[in-house]
Amino acid sequence: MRKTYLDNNATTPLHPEVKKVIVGSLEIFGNASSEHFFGQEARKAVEDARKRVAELLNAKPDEIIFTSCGSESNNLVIKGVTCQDLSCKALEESHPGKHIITSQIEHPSVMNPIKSLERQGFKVTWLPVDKYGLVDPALIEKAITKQTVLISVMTANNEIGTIEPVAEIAKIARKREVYFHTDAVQAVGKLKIDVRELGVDFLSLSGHKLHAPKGVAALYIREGVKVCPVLQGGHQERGLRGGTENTLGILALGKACELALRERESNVKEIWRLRERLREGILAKIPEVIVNGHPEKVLPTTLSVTFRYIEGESILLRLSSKGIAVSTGSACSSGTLEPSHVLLAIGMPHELAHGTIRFSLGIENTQEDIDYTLEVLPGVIQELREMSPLWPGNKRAC
Amino acid sequence: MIYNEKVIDYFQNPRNMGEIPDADGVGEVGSPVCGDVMKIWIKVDKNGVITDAKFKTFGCASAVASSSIATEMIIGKQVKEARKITNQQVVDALGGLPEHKIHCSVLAADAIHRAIDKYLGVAPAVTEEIEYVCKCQQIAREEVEEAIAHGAYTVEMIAEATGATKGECGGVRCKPLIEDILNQYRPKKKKGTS
Repeated sequence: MRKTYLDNNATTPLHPEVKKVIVGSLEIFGNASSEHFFGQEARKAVEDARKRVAELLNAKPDEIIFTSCGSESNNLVIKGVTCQDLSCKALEESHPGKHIITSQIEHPSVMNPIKSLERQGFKVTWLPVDKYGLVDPALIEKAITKQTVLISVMTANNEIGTIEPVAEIAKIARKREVYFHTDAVQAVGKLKIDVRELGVDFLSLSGHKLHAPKGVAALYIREGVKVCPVLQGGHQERGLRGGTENTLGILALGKACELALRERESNVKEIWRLRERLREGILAKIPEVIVNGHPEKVLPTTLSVTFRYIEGESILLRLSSKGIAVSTGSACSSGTLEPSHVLLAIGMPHELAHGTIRFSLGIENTQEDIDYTLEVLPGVIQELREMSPLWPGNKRAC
Repeated sequence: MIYNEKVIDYFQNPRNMGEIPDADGVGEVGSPVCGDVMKIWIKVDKNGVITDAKFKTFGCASAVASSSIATEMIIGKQVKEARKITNQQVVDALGGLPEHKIHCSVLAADAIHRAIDKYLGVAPAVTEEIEYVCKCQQIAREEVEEAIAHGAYTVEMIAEATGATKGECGGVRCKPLIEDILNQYRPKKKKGTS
Protein backbone atom coordinates (compact mmCIF):
# COMPACT_ATOMS: atom_id res chain seq x y z
CA MET A 1 0.00 0.00 0.00
CA ARG A 2 1.21 3.50 -0.83
CA LYS A 3 2.10 5.37 2.37
CA THR A 4 1.62 9.12 2.48
CA TYR A 5 2.62 10.98 5.61
CA LEU A 6 0.80 14.28 6.04
CA ASP A 7 1.16 14.65 9.80
CA ASN A 8 4.47 16.52 10.04
CA ASN A 9 3.16 18.91 12.71
CA ALA A 10 2.80 15.88 14.99
CA THR A 11 6.34 14.73 14.30
CA THR A 12 8.80 14.43 11.43
CA PRO A 13 10.93 11.55 10.17
CA LEU A 14 14.69 11.76 10.70
CA HIS A 15 16.57 13.62 7.97
CA PRO A 16 18.93 11.12 6.25
CA GLU A 17 21.91 13.34 7.18
CA VAL A 18 20.78 13.43 10.81
CA LYS A 19 20.53 9.65 10.77
CA LYS A 20 24.12 9.47 9.47
CA VAL A 21 25.36 11.71 12.29
CA ILE A 22 23.63 9.58 14.94
CA VAL A 23 24.97 6.32 13.52
CA GLY A 24 28.44 7.82 13.16
CA SER A 25 28.43 8.99 16.80
CA LEU A 26 27.25 5.83 18.55
CA GLU A 27 30.72 5.35 20.01
CA ILE A 28 30.64 8.69 21.83
CA PHE A 29 29.56 7.58 25.28
CA GLY A 30 31.51 9.78 27.68
CA ASN A 31 29.81 12.03 30.20
CA ALA A 32 30.23 15.56 28.90
CA SER A 33 31.01 16.69 32.46
CA SER A 34 33.99 14.34 32.81
CA GLU A 35 37.40 15.93 32.46
CA HIS A 36 39.10 12.98 30.79
CA PHE A 37 39.24 12.53 27.03
CA PHE A 38 36.05 10.42 26.86
CA GLY A 39 34.18 13.24 28.52
CA GLN A 40 35.85 15.91 26.45
CA GLU A 41 34.90 14.14 23.23
CA ALA A 42 31.24 14.33 24.33
CA ARG A 43 31.66 17.94 25.53
CA LYS A 44 33.02 18.99 22.14
CA ALA A 45 30.05 17.36 20.36
CA VAL A 46 27.56 19.08 22.67
CA GLU A 47 29.15 22.51 22.35
CA ASP A 48 29.47 22.15 18.60
CA ALA A 49 25.75 21.37 18.42
CA ARG A 50 24.97 24.36 20.64
CA LYS A 51 26.76 26.60 18.13
CA ARG A 52 24.65 25.26 15.28
CA VAL A 53 21.39 25.77 17.13
CA ALA A 54 22.52 29.30 17.98
CA GLU A 55 23.45 29.99 14.37
CA LEU A 56 19.99 29.01 13.13
CA LEU A 57 18.39 31.46 15.56
CA ASN A 58 21.09 34.18 15.28
CA ALA A 59 21.72 33.74 19.01
CA LYS A 60 24.92 33.30 21.01
CA PRO A 61 25.79 29.71 21.97
CA ASP A 62 25.57 30.67 25.66
CA GLU A 63 21.95 31.64 25.14
CA ILE A 64 20.95 28.08 24.22
CA ILE A 65 19.88 25.53 26.85
CA PHE A 66 19.26 21.92 25.85
CA THR A 67 16.15 20.23 27.26
CA SER A 68 14.26 17.01 26.60
CA CYS A 69 11.21 18.32 24.74
CA GLY A 70 9.29 21.42 23.76
CA SER A 71 7.03 20.95 26.75
CA GLU A 72 10.02 21.05 29.08
CA SER A 73 11.30 24.25 27.46
CA ASN A 74 7.88 25.86 27.90
CA ASN A 75 7.59 24.69 31.51
CA LEU A 76 11.08 25.96 32.29
CA VAL A 77 10.16 29.47 31.15
CA ILE A 78 6.76 29.66 32.80
CA LYS A 79 7.77 28.12 36.12
CA GLY A 80 11.31 29.50 36.03
CA VAL A 81 10.29 33.11 35.52
CA THR A 82 7.52 33.02 38.09
CA CYS A 83 9.60 30.93 40.47
CA GLN A 84 6.58 28.89 41.54
CA ASP A 85 6.39 25.20 42.40
CA LEU A 86 10.02 25.47 43.43
CA SER A 87 11.94 25.52 46.63
CA CYS A 88 14.35 28.00 45.08
CA LYS A 89 12.90 31.41 45.79
CA ALA A 90 15.86 33.48 44.71
CA LEU A 91 13.93 35.41 42.11
CA GLU A 92 10.83 36.18 44.09
CA GLU A 93 12.27 39.49 45.14
CA SER A 94 13.07 40.64 41.63
CA HIS A 95 9.81 39.43 40.09
CA PRO A 96 7.10 40.02 42.62
CA GLY A 97 4.29 40.32 40.04
CA LYS A 98 1.64 37.70 39.72
CA HIS A 99 0.10 38.42 36.32
CA ILE A 100 0.64 36.53 33.07
CA ILE A 101 -0.62 37.31 29.58
CA THR A 102 -1.10 34.53 27.05
CA SER A 103 -3.41 33.60 24.18
CA GLN A 104 -6.35 31.23 24.06
CA ILE A 105 -4.73 29.11 21.34
CA GLU A 106 -1.47 28.07 23.00
CA HIS A 107 -0.22 24.51 23.07
CA PRO A 108 -1.24 22.55 26.21
CA SER A 109 2.39 22.69 27.40
CA VAL A 110 2.01 26.47 27.77
CA MET A 111 -1.65 26.52 28.72
CA ASN A 112 -1.52 23.96 31.51
CA PRO A 113 1.47 25.32 33.47
CA ILE A 114 -0.21 28.74 33.31
CA LYS A 115 -3.53 27.26 34.49
CA SER A 116 -1.62 25.73 37.35
CA LEU A 117 -0.26 29.18 38.30
CA GLU A 118 -3.80 30.55 38.01
CA ARG A 119 -4.92 28.02 40.62
CA GLN A 120 -2.10 29.24 42.85
CA GLY A 121 -3.41 32.79 42.76
CA PHE A 122 -1.87 34.29 39.63
CA LYS A 123 -4.02 36.52 37.47
CA VAL A 124 -4.02 35.39 33.87
CA THR A 125 -5.19 37.30 30.80
CA TRP A 126 -6.26 34.76 28.18
CA LEU A 127 -6.18 36.86 25.02
CA PRO A 128 -8.86 36.14 22.42
CA VAL A 129 -7.93 35.75 18.75
CA ASP A 130 -9.73 36.79 15.56
CA LYS A 131 -11.35 34.37 13.10
CA TYR A 132 -7.92 33.60 11.59
CA GLY A 133 -6.37 32.91 14.97
CA LEU A 134 -4.41 36.19 15.17
CA VAL A 135 -3.63 37.85 18.48
CA ASP A 136 -4.06 41.65 18.50
CA PRO A 137 -0.87 43.28 19.93
CA ALA A 138 -2.94 46.31 21.00
CA LEU A 139 -4.84 44.06 23.41
CA ILE A 140 -1.54 42.97 24.94
CA GLU A 141 -0.48 46.56 25.45
CA LYS A 142 -3.78 47.22 27.25
CA ALA A 143 -3.53 44.09 29.37
CA ILE A 144 -0.07 44.84 30.81
CA THR A 145 -0.08 45.95 34.44
CA LYS A 146 2.65 46.58 36.99
CA GLN A 147 2.07 43.01 38.12
CA THR A 148 2.76 41.45 34.71
CA VAL A 149 5.80 39.12 34.80
CA LEU A 150 5.47 37.21 31.55
CA ILE A 151 3.82 37.32 28.14
CA SER A 152 3.72 34.03 26.23
CA VAL A 153 2.38 33.89 22.67
CA MET A 154 3.28 31.17 20.19
CA THR A 155 5.13 31.96 16.95
CA ALA A 156 2.80 29.83 14.83
CA ASN A 157 -0.18 27.71 15.77
CA ASN A 158 0.16 23.95 15.52
CA GLU A 159 -3.43 23.26 14.48
CA ILE A 160 -4.29 25.97 11.96
CA GLY A 161 -0.80 27.28 11.14
CA THR A 162 -1.53 30.97 11.71
CA ILE A 163 1.64 33.04 12.28
CA GLU A 164 1.39 35.49 15.18
CA PRO A 165 2.82 39.04 15.17
CA VAL A 166 5.64 38.05 17.51
CA ALA A 167 8.00 40.94 16.66
CA GLU A 168 5.31 43.53 17.40
CA ILE A 169 4.44 41.88 20.68
CA ALA A 170 8.13 41.71 21.61
CA LYS A 171 8.47 45.45 20.99
CA ILE A 172 5.61 46.18 23.37
CA ALA A 173 6.99 43.79 25.97
CA ARG A 174 10.44 45.37 25.76
CA LYS A 175 9.03 48.87 26.09
CA ARG A 176 7.02 47.88 29.17
CA GLU A 177 9.87 45.78 30.60
CA VAL A 178 7.97 42.52 30.69
CA TYR A 179 9.55 39.20 29.71
CA PHE A 180 8.26 37.75 26.45
CA HIS A 181 8.33 34.05 25.59
CA THR A 182 7.35 32.52 22.28
CA ASP A 183 6.73 28.83 21.70
CA ALA A 184 8.30 28.44 18.25
CA VAL A 185 8.17 24.65 18.17
CA GLN A 186 6.11 24.60 14.95
CA ALA A 187 7.93 27.53 13.36
CA VAL A 188 11.64 26.75 13.64
CA GLY A 189 12.92 25.24 10.39
CA LYS A 190 9.88 26.54 8.51
CA LEU A 191 10.05 30.29 9.06
CA LYS A 192 13.09 32.54 9.32
CA ILE A 193 13.64 32.85 13.05
CA ASP A 194 16.10 35.51 14.15
CA VAL A 195 15.86 36.13 17.88
CA ARG A 196 17.61 39.51 17.59
CA GLU A 197 15.18 40.73 14.93
CA LEU A 198 12.21 39.31 16.82
CA GLY A 199 13.40 40.74 20.11
CA VAL A 200 12.11 37.91 22.28
CA ASP A 201 13.48 36.94 25.70
CA PHE A 202 12.68 33.23 25.46
CA LEU A 203 12.05 30.93 22.51
CA SER A 204 11.25 27.20 22.62
CA LEU A 205 12.06 24.73 19.86
CA SER A 206 11.86 20.97 19.58
CA GLY A 207 14.07 18.48 17.74
CA HIS A 208 11.50 16.04 16.43
CA LYS A 209 9.56 18.76 14.61
CA LEU A 210 12.59 19.47 12.43
CA HIS A 211 13.83 16.01 11.55
CA ALA A 212 15.91 15.30 14.68
CA PRO A 213 14.81 12.53 17.07
CA LYS A 214 12.32 12.77 19.95
CA GLY A 215 13.76 13.48 23.39
CA VAL A 216 15.80 16.55 22.57
CA ALA A 217 14.81 20.21 22.43
CA ALA A 218 16.19 23.62 23.24
CA LEU A 219 15.33 26.90 24.85
CA TYR A 220 16.77 30.28 23.89
CA ILE A 221 17.21 32.51 26.93
CA ARG A 222 18.39 36.03 26.08
CA GLU A 223 21.70 36.97 27.65
CA GLY A 224 21.24 38.49 31.09
CA VAL A 225 17.72 37.13 31.66
CA LYS A 226 17.45 35.08 34.85
CA VAL A 227 15.23 32.08 35.51
CA CYS A 228 15.04 29.41 38.19
CA PRO A 229 15.74 25.82 37.18
CA VAL A 230 12.77 23.45 37.20
CA LEU A 231 14.79 20.26 36.95
CA GLN A 232 17.25 20.78 39.78
CA GLY A 233 20.43 18.78 39.88
CA GLY A 234 23.97 19.24 38.69
CA HIS A 235 25.59 22.25 37.09
CA GLN A 236 24.70 21.16 33.55
CA GLU A 237 23.31 23.75 31.17
CA ARG A 238 24.54 26.65 33.31
CA GLY A 239 22.71 25.15 36.28
CA LEU A 240 19.36 25.71 34.60
CA ARG A 241 18.72 22.10 33.69
CA GLY A 242 20.26 19.35 35.76
CA GLY A 243 20.89 15.93 34.23
CA THR A 244 23.60 14.39 32.09
CA GLU A 245 23.41 15.74 28.55
CA ASN A 246 21.64 13.63 25.92
CA THR A 247 24.74 13.68 23.73
CA LEU A 248 23.38 11.72 20.77
CA GLY A 249 20.13 13.67 20.72
CA ILE A 250 21.89 17.00 21.06
CA LEU A 251 24.30 16.42 18.22
CA ALA A 252 21.42 15.23 16.07
CA LEU A 253 19.56 18.46 16.87
CA GLY A 254 22.69 20.42 15.99
CA LYS A 255 22.84 18.72 12.59
CA ALA A 256 19.11 19.28 12.02
CA CYS A 257 19.55 23.00 12.74
CA GLU A 258 22.54 23.22 10.41
CA LEU A 259 20.44 21.59 7.66
CA ALA A 260 17.49 23.87 8.38
CA LEU A 261 19.72 26.94 8.01
CA ARG A 262 21.02 25.68 4.68
CA GLU A 263 17.90 24.11 3.15
CA ARG A 264 14.97 25.94 4.69
CA GLU A 265 14.28 28.42 1.93
CA SER A 266 14.27 25.96 -0.95
CA ASN A 267 12.36 23.34 1.07
CA VAL A 268 9.68 25.75 2.11
CA LYS A 269 9.13 26.97 -1.43
CA GLU A 270 8.37 23.46 -2.63
CA ILE A 271 6.27 22.58 0.44
CA TRP A 272 4.15 25.71 -0.06
CA ARG A 273 3.61 24.76 -3.70
CA LEU A 274 2.38 21.30 -2.64
CA ARG A 275 0.23 22.76 0.13
CA GLU A 276 -1.44 25.11 -2.33
CA ARG A 277 -1.97 22.27 -4.78
CA LEU A 278 -3.69 20.30 -2.01
CA ARG A 279 -5.79 23.27 -0.91
CA GLU A 280 -6.89 24.13 -4.44
CA GLY A 281 -7.59 20.48 -5.22
CA ILE A 282 -9.77 20.04 -2.14
CA LEU A 283 -11.74 23.21 -2.88
CA ALA A 284 -12.24 22.16 -6.50
CA LYS A 285 -13.24 18.56 -5.81
CA ILE A 286 -15.18 18.64 -2.54
CA PRO A 287 -18.20 20.83 -1.76
CA GLU A 288 -18.99 22.31 1.64
CA VAL A 289 -15.48 22.69 3.01
CA ILE A 290 -13.88 25.50 4.98
CA VAL A 291 -10.15 26.27 4.99
CA ASN A 292 -9.05 27.48 8.43
CA GLY A 293 -6.25 29.79 9.51
CA HIS A 294 -4.93 32.98 7.94
CA PRO A 295 -4.78 32.91 4.11
CA GLU A 296 -1.22 34.36 3.98
CA LYS A 297 0.19 34.55 7.50
CA VAL A 298 0.24 30.78 7.73
CA LEU A 299 2.87 28.05 8.07
CA PRO A 300 3.72 26.74 4.61
CA THR A 301 3.41 23.22 5.99
CA THR A 302 -0.06 23.42 7.48
CA LEU A 303 -3.52 23.10 5.95
CA SER A 304 -6.52 22.87 8.26
CA VAL A 305 -9.79 21.98 6.56
CA THR A 306 -13.30 21.52 7.93
CA PHE A 307 -15.55 19.05 6.14
CA ARG A 308 -19.16 19.77 7.02
CA TYR A 309 -21.61 17.07 8.17
CA ILE A 310 -18.99 14.49 9.13
CA GLU A 311 -16.68 13.80 12.03
CA GLY A 312 -12.90 14.06 12.00
CA GLU A 313 -11.93 10.75 13.55
CA SER A 314 -13.94 8.89 10.91
CA ILE A 315 -12.13 10.78 8.16
CA LEU A 316 -8.74 10.10 9.80
CA LEU A 317 -9.34 6.34 10.14
CA ARG A 318 -10.77 5.94 6.63
CA LEU A 319 -7.76 7.81 5.18
CA SER A 320 -5.40 5.77 7.36
CA SER A 321 -6.82 2.54 5.95
CA LYS A 322 -5.90 3.87 2.51
CA GLY A 323 -2.34 4.74 3.55
CA ILE A 324 -2.77 8.46 4.24
CA ALA A 325 -1.77 9.78 7.67
CA VAL A 326 -3.42 13.01 8.87
CA SER A 327 -4.63 14.34 12.18
CA THR A 328 -7.96 15.62 13.49
CA GLY A 329 -8.41 19.19 14.58
CA SER A 330 -10.46 17.94 17.47
CA ALA A 331 -9.15 16.08 20.47
CA CYS A 332 -11.89 13.47 20.15
CA SER A 333 -9.61 10.55 19.44
CA SER A 334 -7.22 11.38 22.25
CA GLY A 335 -9.52 10.69 25.13
CA THR A 336 -11.51 13.87 25.45
CA LEU A 337 -14.69 14.66 23.58
CA GLU A 338 -14.37 18.42 23.61
CA PRO A 339 -13.41 19.84 20.25
CA SER A 340 -10.09 21.68 19.92
CA HIS A 341 -9.73 24.85 22.01
CA VAL A 342 -8.04 26.49 19.02
CA LEU A 343 -11.01 25.95 16.70
CA LEU A 344 -13.43 27.15 19.37
CA ALA A 345 -11.25 30.23 19.97
CA ILE A 346 -11.45 31.24 16.29
CA GLY A 347 -15.22 31.13 16.69
CA MET A 348 -15.96 27.86 14.94
CA PRO A 349 -19.20 26.23 16.13
CA HIS A 350 -18.78 22.86 17.88
CA GLU A 351 -20.42 20.83 15.12
CA LEU A 352 -17.95 22.14 12.53
CA ALA A 353 -14.95 21.82 14.85
CA HIS A 354 -15.72 18.08 15.11
CA GLY A 355 -15.21 17.74 11.35
CA THR A 356 -11.81 19.36 11.04
CA ILE A 357 -8.69 17.69 9.61
CA ARG A 358 -5.12 18.95 9.70
CA PHE A 359 -2.86 18.10 6.77
CA SER A 360 0.75 18.94 7.60
CA LEU A 361 3.40 18.59 4.95
CA GLY A 362 7.14 18.05 5.17
CA ILE A 363 10.32 17.80 3.14
CA GLU A 364 9.72 14.19 2.15
CA ASN A 365 6.35 14.85 0.49
CA THR A 366 6.12 14.72 -3.29
CA GLN A 367 3.56 15.85 -5.83
CA GLU A 368 2.52 12.20 -6.15
CA ASP A 369 1.60 12.23 -2.43
CA ILE A 370 -0.67 15.20 -2.96
CA ASP A 371 -2.23 13.81 -6.12
CA TYR A 372 -2.86 10.46 -4.44
CA THR A 373 -4.50 12.26 -1.51
CA LEU A 374 -6.66 14.27 -3.89
CA GLU A 375 -7.64 11.03 -5.60
CA VAL A 376 -8.66 9.24 -2.38
CA LEU A 377 -10.09 12.05 -0.26
CA PRO A 378 -13.25 12.97 -2.24
CA GLY A 379 -14.47 9.34 -2.10
CA VAL A 380 -13.83 9.07 1.65
CA ILE A 381 -15.69 12.32 2.31
CA GLN A 382 -18.59 11.31 0.06
CA GLU A 383 -18.96 7.87 1.70
CA LEU A 384 -19.01 9.35 5.18
CA ARG A 385 -21.46 12.06 4.15
CA GLU A 386 -23.77 9.41 2.72
CA MET A 387 -23.63 7.75 6.12
CA SER A 388 -24.42 11.00 7.94
CA PRO A 389 -27.99 11.90 8.90
CA LEU A 390 -26.95 15.57 8.73
CA TRP A 391 -25.92 15.59 5.07
CA PRO A 392 -28.62 17.41 3.09
CA GLY A 393 -27.32 15.84 -0.13
CA ASN A 394 -29.06 12.64 0.95
CA LYS A 395 -32.46 14.25 0.76
CA ARG A 396 -31.78 15.57 -2.70
CA ALA A 397 -30.78 12.11 -3.84
CA CYS A 398 -33.97 10.47 -2.58
CA MET B 1 -4.94 1.53 17.69
CA ILE B 2 -7.52 2.38 20.29
CA TYR B 3 -10.16 0.10 18.74
CA ASN B 4 -10.25 -3.67 18.36
CA GLU B 5 -10.52 -5.34 14.95
CA LYS B 6 -14.25 -5.91 15.21
CA VAL B 7 -14.97 -2.23 15.84
CA ILE B 8 -12.75 -1.28 12.92
CA ASP B 9 -14.46 -3.86 10.70
CA TYR B 10 -17.94 -2.49 11.51
CA PHE B 11 -16.63 1.03 10.94
CA GLN B 12 -14.93 0.28 7.62
CA ASN B 13 -17.68 -2.05 6.37
CA PRO B 14 -20.84 -0.90 8.11
CA ARG B 15 -23.76 -3.31 7.92
CA ASN B 16 -27.29 -1.94 7.39
CA MET B 17 -26.22 1.59 6.51
CA GLY B 18 -29.00 3.57 4.87
CA GLU B 19 -32.62 4.59 5.32
CA ILE B 20 -35.95 2.78 5.16
CA PRO B 21 -38.32 5.14 3.31
CA ASP B 22 -41.54 3.48 4.61
CA ALA B 23 -40.20 2.66 8.06
CA ASP B 24 -42.56 1.72 10.91
CA GLY B 25 -40.40 3.49 13.46
CA VAL B 26 -37.56 6.01 13.39
CA GLY B 27 -35.40 7.03 16.33
CA GLU B 28 -32.89 9.89 16.37
CA VAL B 29 -30.60 10.76 19.28
CA GLY B 30 -27.54 12.90 19.97
CA SER B 31 -26.65 16.36 18.70
CA PRO B 32 -24.19 17.71 16.15
CA VAL B 33 -22.78 20.04 18.83
CA CYS B 34 -21.62 17.03 20.84
CA GLY B 35 -20.22 15.29 17.80
CA ASP B 36 -22.64 12.35 17.57
CA VAL B 37 -26.01 11.96 15.87
CA MET B 38 -27.59 8.54 15.29
CA LYS B 39 -30.74 7.78 13.38
CA ILE B 40 -32.25 4.30 13.20
CA TRP B 41 -35.11 3.09 11.01
CA ILE B 42 -37.05 -0.16 11.68
CA LYS B 43 -39.52 -2.22 9.65
CA VAL B 44 -41.89 -4.44 11.65
CA ASP B 45 -44.14 -7.19 10.23
CA LYS B 46 -47.69 -8.02 11.38
CA ASN B 47 -46.41 -10.49 13.95
CA GLY B 48 -44.39 -7.78 15.65
CA VAL B 49 -41.06 -9.04 14.34
CA ILE B 50 -38.41 -6.55 13.21
CA THR B 51 -37.69 -7.54 9.62
CA ASP B 52 -35.26 -4.78 8.76
CA ALA B 53 -33.28 -2.04 10.47
CA LYS B 54 -31.04 0.64 9.00
CA PHE B 55 -28.90 3.41 10.44
CA LYS B 56 -27.19 6.67 9.62
CA THR B 57 -24.58 8.16 11.93
CA PHE B 58 -22.60 11.36 12.25
CA GLY B 59 -19.77 10.55 14.59
CA CYS B 60 -16.55 8.74 15.25
CA ALA B 61 -15.64 5.16 14.37
CA SER B 62 -17.16 3.70 17.54
CA ALA B 63 -20.41 5.57 16.94
CA VAL B 64 -20.68 4.09 13.45
CA ALA B 65 -19.74 0.60 14.67
CA SER B 66 -22.15 0.75 17.63
CA SER B 67 -25.13 1.77 15.52
CA SER B 68 -24.30 -0.72 12.80
CA ILE B 69 -23.99 -3.73 15.11
CA ALA B 70 -27.07 -2.64 17.08
CA THR B 71 -29.21 -2.87 13.93
CA GLU B 72 -27.94 -6.41 13.35
CA MET B 73 -28.78 -7.35 16.92
CA ILE B 74 -32.47 -6.45 16.60
CA ILE B 75 -33.30 -7.79 13.13
CA GLY B 76 -35.43 -10.95 13.48
CA LYS B 77 -36.42 -10.15 17.05
CA GLN B 78 -39.86 -9.40 18.51
CA VAL B 79 -40.10 -5.66 19.19
CA LYS B 80 -40.62 -6.28 22.90
CA GLU B 81 -37.44 -8.38 23.00
CA ALA B 82 -35.54 -5.82 20.94
CA ARG B 83 -36.70 -2.99 23.23
CA LYS B 84 -34.66 -4.62 26.01
CA ILE B 85 -31.34 -4.03 24.24
CA THR B 86 -28.80 -2.37 26.54
CA ASN B 87 -25.65 -0.44 25.82
CA GLN B 88 -23.67 -3.17 27.56
CA GLN B 89 -24.93 -5.73 25.05
CA VAL B 90 -23.75 -3.43 22.24
CA VAL B 91 -20.31 -3.09 23.85
CA ASP B 92 -20.09 -6.85 24.36
CA ALA B 93 -21.13 -7.55 20.77
CA LEU B 94 -18.30 -5.29 19.60
CA GLY B 95 -15.84 -7.05 21.89
CA GLY B 96 -15.31 -3.91 23.96
CA LEU B 97 -14.97 -0.15 23.48
CA PRO B 98 -12.50 2.30 25.05
CA GLU B 99 -13.90 3.83 28.24
CA HIS B 100 -14.30 7.31 26.76
CA LYS B 101 -16.32 5.85 23.86
CA ILE B 102 -18.90 4.01 25.96
CA HIS B 103 -21.38 6.82 25.31
CA CYS B 104 -21.54 5.68 21.67
CA SER B 105 -23.11 2.40 22.78
CA VAL B 106 -25.51 4.33 25.03
CA LEU B 107 -26.63 6.39 22.05
CA ALA B 108 -27.05 3.30 19.85
CA ALA B 109 -29.30 1.58 22.43
CA ASP B 110 -31.20 4.85 22.94
CA ALA B 111 -31.81 5.28 19.21
CA ILE B 112 -33.28 1.78 19.03
CA HIS B 113 -35.48 2.40 22.09
CA ARG B 114 -36.76 5.59 20.44
CA ALA B 115 -37.47 3.88 17.11
CA ILE B 116 -39.39 1.06 18.84
CA ASP B 117 -41.29 3.49 21.07
CA LYS B 118 -42.30 5.41 17.93
CA TYR B 119 -43.55 2.16 16.40
CA LEU B 120 -45.43 1.23 19.58
CA GLY B 121 -46.85 4.73 19.81
CA VAL B 122 -45.36 5.21 23.24
CA ALA B 123 -44.20 8.67 24.19
CA PRO B 124 -40.67 8.73 25.63
CA ALA B 125 -40.90 7.50 29.20
CA VAL B 126 -41.86 10.31 31.53
CA THR B 127 -41.20 9.52 35.14
CA GLU B 128 -44.05 10.73 37.25
CA GLU B 129 -41.90 11.58 40.17
CA ILE B 130 -38.53 13.10 39.49
CA GLU B 131 -35.77 11.09 41.06
CA TYR B 132 -33.10 13.44 42.36
CA VAL B 133 -29.60 12.05 42.50
CA CYS B 134 -28.13 15.20 43.98
CA LYS B 135 -30.64 16.72 46.34
CA CYS B 136 -28.63 19.83 47.21
CA GLN B 137 -28.45 20.98 43.59
CA GLN B 138 -31.65 19.27 42.39
CA ILE B 139 -29.94 17.18 39.74
CA ALA B 140 -32.26 14.51 38.38
CA ARG B 141 -31.19 10.99 37.44
CA GLU B 142 -32.10 11.86 33.84
CA GLU B 143 -29.52 14.65 33.76
CA VAL B 144 -26.84 12.27 34.98
CA GLU B 145 -27.80 9.76 32.28
CA GLU B 146 -27.76 12.55 29.69
CA ALA B 147 -24.21 13.44 30.77
CA ILE B 148 -23.15 9.81 30.33
CA ALA B 149 -24.66 9.77 26.82
CA HIS B 150 -22.57 12.83 26.07
CA GLY B 151 -19.33 11.19 27.06
CA ALA B 152 -18.91 11.51 30.84
CA TYR B 153 -17.49 8.33 32.30
CA THR B 154 -16.25 9.29 35.76
CA VAL B 155 -17.96 10.85 38.78
CA GLU B 156 -15.81 13.94 38.28
CA MET B 157 -16.89 14.33 34.66
CA ILE B 158 -20.55 13.99 35.64
CA ALA B 159 -20.03 16.54 38.40
CA GLU B 160 -18.48 18.90 35.87
CA ALA B 161 -21.30 18.42 33.36
CA THR B 162 -24.27 18.58 35.72
CA GLY B 163 -23.10 20.48 38.77
CA ALA B 164 -23.83 17.49 41.01
CA THR B 165 -21.64 16.99 44.12
CA LYS B 166 -21.06 20.74 44.32
CA GLY B 167 -23.83 21.47 46.81
CA GLU B 168 -23.79 21.85 50.54
CA CYS B 169 -23.16 18.21 51.32
CA GLY B 170 -20.07 18.22 49.10
CA GLY B 171 -21.12 15.05 47.35
CA VAL B 172 -21.48 12.87 50.43
CA ARG B 173 -24.94 11.68 49.39
CA CYS B 174 -24.79 11.78 45.62
CA LYS B 175 -21.31 10.44 44.84
CA PRO B 176 -22.24 6.81 45.64
CA LEU B 177 -25.51 7.18 43.68
CA ILE B 178 -23.67 8.52 40.64
CA GLU B 179 -21.16 5.69 40.94
CA ASP B 180 -24.09 3.23 40.90
CA ILE B 181 -25.57 4.78 37.77
CA LEU B 182 -22.17 4.74 36.07
CA ASN B 183 -21.77 1.07 36.91
CA GLN B 184 -25.04 0.29 35.16
CA TYR B 185 -23.57 1.66 31.94
CA ARG B 186 -20.05 0.33 32.28
CA PRO B 187 -19.36 -2.94 30.53
CA LYS B 188 -19.21 -5.81 33.02
CA LYS B 189 -15.66 -6.95 33.73
CA LYS B 190 -15.32 -10.50 32.59
CA LYS B 191 -13.65 -12.97 34.90
CA GLY B 192 -10.08 -13.77 34.03
CA THR B 193 -9.45 -10.45 32.33
CA SER B 194 -7.85 -7.58 34.08
